[in-house]
Amino acid sequence: MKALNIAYYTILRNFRDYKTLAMMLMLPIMLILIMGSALSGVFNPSDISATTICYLDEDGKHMSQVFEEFLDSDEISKLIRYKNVATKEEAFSLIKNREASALILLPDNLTDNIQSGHKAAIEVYSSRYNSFSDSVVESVLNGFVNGTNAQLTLNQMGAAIGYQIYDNTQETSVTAEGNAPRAIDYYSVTMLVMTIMYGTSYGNYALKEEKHLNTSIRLASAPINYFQVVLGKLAGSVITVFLQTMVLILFTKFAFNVNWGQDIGFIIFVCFSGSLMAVGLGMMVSNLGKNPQVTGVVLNLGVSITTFIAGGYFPTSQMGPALEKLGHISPNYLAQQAIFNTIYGGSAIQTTNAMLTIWAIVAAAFVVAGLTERRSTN
Amino acid sequence: MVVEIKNLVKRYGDFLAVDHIDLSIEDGEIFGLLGPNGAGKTTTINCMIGMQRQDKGKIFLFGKEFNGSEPDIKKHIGIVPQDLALYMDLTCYENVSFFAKLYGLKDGLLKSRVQEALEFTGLWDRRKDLAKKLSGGMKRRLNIACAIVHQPKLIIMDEPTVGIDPQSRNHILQSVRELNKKGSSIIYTSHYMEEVEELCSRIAIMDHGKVIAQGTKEELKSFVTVEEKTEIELSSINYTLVDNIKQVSGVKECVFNDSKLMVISEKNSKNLSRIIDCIAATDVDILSMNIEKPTLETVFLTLTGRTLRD
Repeated sequence: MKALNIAYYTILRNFRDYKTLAMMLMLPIMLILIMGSALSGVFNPSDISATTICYLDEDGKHMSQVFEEFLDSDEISKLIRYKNVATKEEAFSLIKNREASALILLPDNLTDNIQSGHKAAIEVYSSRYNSFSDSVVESVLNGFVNGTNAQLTLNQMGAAIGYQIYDNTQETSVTAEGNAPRAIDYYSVTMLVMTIMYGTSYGNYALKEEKHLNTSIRLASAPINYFQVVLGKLAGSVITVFLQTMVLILFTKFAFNVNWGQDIGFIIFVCFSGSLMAVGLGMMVSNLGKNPQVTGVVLNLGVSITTFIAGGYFPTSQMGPALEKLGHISPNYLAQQAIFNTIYGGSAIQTTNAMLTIWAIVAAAFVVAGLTERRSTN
Repeated sequence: MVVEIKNLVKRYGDFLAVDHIDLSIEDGEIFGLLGPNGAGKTTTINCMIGMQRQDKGKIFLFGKEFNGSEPDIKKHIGIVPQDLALYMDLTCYENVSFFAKLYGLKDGLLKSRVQEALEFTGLWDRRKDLAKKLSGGMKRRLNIACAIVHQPKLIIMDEPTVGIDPQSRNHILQSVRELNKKGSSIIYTSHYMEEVEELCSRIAIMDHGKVIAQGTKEELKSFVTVEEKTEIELSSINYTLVDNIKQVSGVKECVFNDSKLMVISEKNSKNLSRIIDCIAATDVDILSMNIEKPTLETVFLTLTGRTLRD
């Protein structure tokens, strides 16, 4: 109860800090509006052209026939253009020269293995120089594998193997129509994540502020243990950041008609996880440094950098593979990836990996913060 | 015994902030801790409330040994810190209520205690104002309200009147007396010796981390006083009068400067009436008289060779 009391008053005070609140909410809204309007050309869906891949069929049986029919279907051919190759080496050469972005290989005995119930896999070799193309290939293959698995199940119930159920799988695949992000959709996500990351400042000041205000002496003399104080301050800070993200989502949804997808529950979960990560990182850096003003500047600078390299201000996929790769080390990238994948039906594996990494960072941040805590209320 | 401190030591690196001090404070008394800035008063207090851990020595509060974290001891302590310890972006009511809840107060009891504390400090009418909107004196009073809302048995006031106007200062001093009357024991630290002298029944004087003297005001003064000075302004002075006064028992010296006569007597000589008789036997009129009594400032000066504000 005492921790809840501390959390409640922390939130109340954070929301009365109009200057910080304005920076946390008005700044991203302004940036969304400005960049969403100014850079709308970059996000024109017509820019998305079909991804070229190499296709090597070593199976030559029923599954390769089914797969080729799948690739030749109207919907998939808009996304993937394939080129038959005779060897892996030929494919690797094309990929190296960026004439193709991946190789899809149907191995020998694929059909036999599937029909006999043994383990079977379609192999994909990617250059990883274009994450968009990679995700297209991954989505298309997921669609095929899911559809085939479903069909095999139906087959065991007496239906014939074919690809007529592909219509079902296409619903979850990336398409160039309908829900492709506009600039304002893109920046709403990246600015939301930037806002989450600016939550590091709440973590930075959470406990140090008590010393600055001299209220630490009252907290230390009260019959409350230190863990409850930390828990209350942490909860108050995380909820503050989380509520700010909810305000941003609602505002952009109704003011800018931003597409937040169908799975809003998961977006909320990402926001909460991100808020926890940001406050944890803020507390950790605060404990590692001595002066909260200095660590505050470091954190703000850090957020600007991580936002930039994660493509927060301009999509890094348009700025070359080196910067794109660099962006992958940014915490912003993880949250952005999870949100984009959720909204646009992207890779579930990537989303899961991103969320697991976020929670790993949360755990690491709190372990380091705990180990370096010098009883900030002292 | 409310507080018993035995052989307390606290260091900051090589600096010895509290140097083997012993203190004992009786139930129901206002105990003064007097000393200049940096004497070790606040460090001693911080050890007493669990804010800092002593390097050596023992602290007993309400008869139990205190190791810095015992909630059943802490709930009986109220602290009025030297610097304001308030949330400026909360209202007076919210500030007091927040700290009251840390002591487990809730529901009806919480409301009545918060009201009581705000009324006691004269801030009930300002309860909806943010702390940052209050004057300096009012903030000091709110600082007290936050400390007394849970009705502690022991109130520690660390320089509660620093930097405020005389009206607020008087209000606070009056509050201290009232809180004591209601049954709270009070530790009052200050470097304003007038306040300590006015309020406290017993006093400890600290300097350089040590308790250099402790006792009642009278005990402290008698400890250092060796002579008494009386300054008498007369209508005129002649040598016969000066010689006659020098003959009075206990008078060590009698000198004059213009129309003022300075008589220095031995401690407790009680010879003032005989000196006045000498003057009355002449045609000289007494215009004014000032008997210089020792103060705590004198005590400190005698003990350390410095004034409190040095």
